[in-house]
Formats: sequence, C-alpha cells, structure tokens
Amino acid sequence: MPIIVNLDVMMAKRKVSLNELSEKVELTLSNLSILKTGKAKAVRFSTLEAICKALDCQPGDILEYLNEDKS
Amino acid sequence: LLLKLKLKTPFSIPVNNKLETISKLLLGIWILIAILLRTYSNNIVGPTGIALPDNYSGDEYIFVAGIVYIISKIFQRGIELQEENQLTV
Repeated sequence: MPIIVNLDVMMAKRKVSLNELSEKVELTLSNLSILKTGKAKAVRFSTLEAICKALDCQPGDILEYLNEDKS
Repeated sequence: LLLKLKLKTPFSIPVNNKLETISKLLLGIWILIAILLRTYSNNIVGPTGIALPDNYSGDEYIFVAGIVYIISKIFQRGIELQEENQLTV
C-alpha cells in the first residue's frame, strides 16, 4: 500500500505504549492495532487529530507516501 | 437465513450466499413449472384443488427470483461498504 503508517516509530520516540495511546485518543486497542499494522483502509481526521495531539507531532510524522512506481 | 442475520453486522457472506441460493432455487422452480405446464397442460391442479387457468405460466416465481437476486447484489455491495467501515479508524 502506498501510504505507510509510522505510528510505532513515533510511539517509540515519545515512549508511549499502545495501551497508553489508546486511552489518550479514546480508540480501542484493536482499532489502534489495525492502524499500526497498516491494515486500515481509512483514517478519520478526528482520529488523526487525537493521535497528533497525544504524541505531539504532525500528521506527516505518522503518515508517509511511498511512490511504488518510482521504486 | 434469519438465524444467520445479525443486526449489528447485517451484511455477511453466509447471508449473501443464502440469498443467492434462494434466488437460484426460485429460478429452478420457475423452469420446472414451465416444463410441467408444457407437458401436462390439461391436468395441472393448483394447491387449492382448483384447476389452474389455461394462461398460467408461473411468472411470479421468476419475478421473485429476480427481486431476491437484486437484493443479493445489494447485499454484496453492503458487505464491501461494511468491511471498509470496519477498517476505518
């Protein structure tokens, strides 16, 4: 998938566990896991906002676009 | 079909498969009636014991088969949308 989710990288930088993050953003562990493992098909802006607020980062720190044509 | 239907996630593959089976079954019944009517057109008696009219062709079965088939196609689209919604965080 061209969009890569670097949530685990940002979580490691901020030293936040999955449980802590799920409590802060009010998302279930399973939904967070779906996002973290790149299985999510869509992300709501409200969720992205909550994650960025919790991890004190920008959306670009979590989401990355990889052009599969160029690679 | 009713036992497999869950209101929380109504669009599921088993339910869709059941609907497709029902639609094919109804189509098969219509074909069977058409064959029987051509073969035994004078001696067919309806479920009430009254002889069927000459112009009876069992078209209601193909009509209901078509409707159930359309519903199964709508269910298929519903499955896709439900899956996408479940993977939206």
